[in-house]
Amino acid sequence: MPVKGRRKRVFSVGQVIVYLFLIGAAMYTLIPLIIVGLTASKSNPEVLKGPLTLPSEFILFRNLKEAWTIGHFGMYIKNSIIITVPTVLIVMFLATFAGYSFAKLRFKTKDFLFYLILTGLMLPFQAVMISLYFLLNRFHLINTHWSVIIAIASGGLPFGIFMMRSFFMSLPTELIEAARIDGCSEIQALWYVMLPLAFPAWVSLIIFQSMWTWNNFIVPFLFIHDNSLRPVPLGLMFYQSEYYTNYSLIAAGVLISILPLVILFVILQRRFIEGITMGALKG
Amino acid sequence: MLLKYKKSPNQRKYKSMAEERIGYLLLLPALVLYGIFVLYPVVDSVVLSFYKWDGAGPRIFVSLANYIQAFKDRVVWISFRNNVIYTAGIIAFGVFPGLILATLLAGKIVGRTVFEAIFFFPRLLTQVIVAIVWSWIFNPVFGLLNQVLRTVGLGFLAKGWLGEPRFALPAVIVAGAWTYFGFCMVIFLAALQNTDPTLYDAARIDGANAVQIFINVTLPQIKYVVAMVIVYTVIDSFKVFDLVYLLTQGGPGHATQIMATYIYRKSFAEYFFGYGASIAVLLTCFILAISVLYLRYQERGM
Repeated sequence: MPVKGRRKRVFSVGQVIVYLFLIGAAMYTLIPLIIVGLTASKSNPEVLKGPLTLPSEFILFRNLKEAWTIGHFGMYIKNSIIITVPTVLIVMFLATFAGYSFAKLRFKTKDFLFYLILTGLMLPFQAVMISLYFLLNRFHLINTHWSVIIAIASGGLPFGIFMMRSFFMSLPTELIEAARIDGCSEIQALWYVMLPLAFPAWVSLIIFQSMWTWNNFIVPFLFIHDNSLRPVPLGLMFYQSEYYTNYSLIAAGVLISILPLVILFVILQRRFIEGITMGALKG
Repeated sequence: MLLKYKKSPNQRKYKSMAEERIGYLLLLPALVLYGIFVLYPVVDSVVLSFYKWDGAGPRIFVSLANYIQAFKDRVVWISFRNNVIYTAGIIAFGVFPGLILATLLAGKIVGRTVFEAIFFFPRLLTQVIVAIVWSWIFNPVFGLLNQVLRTVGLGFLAKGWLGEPRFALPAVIVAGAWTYFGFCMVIFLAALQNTDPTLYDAARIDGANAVQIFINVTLPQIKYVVAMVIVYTVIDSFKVFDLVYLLTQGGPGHATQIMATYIYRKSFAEYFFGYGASIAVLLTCFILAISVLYLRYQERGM
């Protein structure tokens, strides 16, 4: 048992400064979001009085409802889901197979192929953007969800492969050897022995790839033209330019697109932070 | 010795061939997708950079003309310079505060996870939201920044920040740094948790103050991580497109024009696809060169 109450800790001057600094930084981080919340809660003429004034009448829910109706957010969210789910599944499965192959199997051109894929980690989207547009156009995929799914998934593969490879390399090869001795084929060893262990790596990969896909702006911006096909970020951009001066409705729209994220983040905070920092740094 | 189990050469050969077949089989789907939609477009972009093309008519071979034009193009240099300024700004207002906050949070702090979550949160937002929110803060009529200035008696400084050539780029940097410092903080905090705590005690006993400890004890221990984050930031800041395009579209004039927005403009807005491709190739070469540096640091830093 630790000794209790022996030393009453009074905050030192240094600590007070540290906390003031941290709280100041937190305020700085949150103020833009507070502005969104306040703007969405008041009527538009009131917005012009100042961003941090409190609403005279709290009309958040009326604004949210109106934004939802005129802003087609239901449609945008549906489109984002239609794009994100297949993209994540494609990256997850192909990266798992390829990552396993690079980590645990021996074949001749392995190093060459791995460096080829590693290069993809560094390429900026500008390196493929122009030609990819015309390639997808030739396949008649421009202005379909598939154009976005294919572009983001193939761009996400290098990171996914890299990550799954590192993960499988951290698993002991003896596990596979043991499975082989028990009469498993290579595929069976992967399916029954390795995949169940891959779950933690998948969670990080899913979070990273989902965020990346859900938030991606430039790919749908280039490849999708119809309003009815737009995912959330693109929809929000056009919604914003359409209701340019109706700030409270725009703020309500922003809130609608942030809300699912906030809920997920509060539940999965640690996983989110890990998945995204790791993802970005390796990617 | 004789009892030791040994595979016959035939058996071993069969096994490695099977392994090889499965190795390729598992790679195949990923390689096909990657080959068609990443590698082919890269190669095609390089080829395209030697042609003149409006996107519809025939491609006309012009040899190095696009590259010569790019090196003579004032706006390419402006864009490059703006990318450099943007990078420096993000390091100053994103990486550096991230390092400071991580150092503060590494001590005994009540509510660390809450602070961490708050600082990190902007990173989760799509750049469209970041752009909307910060364009409001910089708004000349009801923007928070002008209001604060007026409140403290500096009202004469109030302006439409994103519309002024001199202030547009710094304003964009502030918005970009807002989404970045929490991300840097998380990385630095992870690195700091791996440092040796006894060194801090020793330094404190020797009478070093907080700043001295930070410079002489903390920094040397995480210098590779710091270098890694800085190089990563350089790469990231040269790739940036969304935020700048959404806030200013490169304007006013070319005040916030960066490589990525200029490539977009030349190709998809003005239909000089060959010329756009040549600038894209130059940008890619630059990023690849820095990435090699990054991989070096990553090996040592992680």
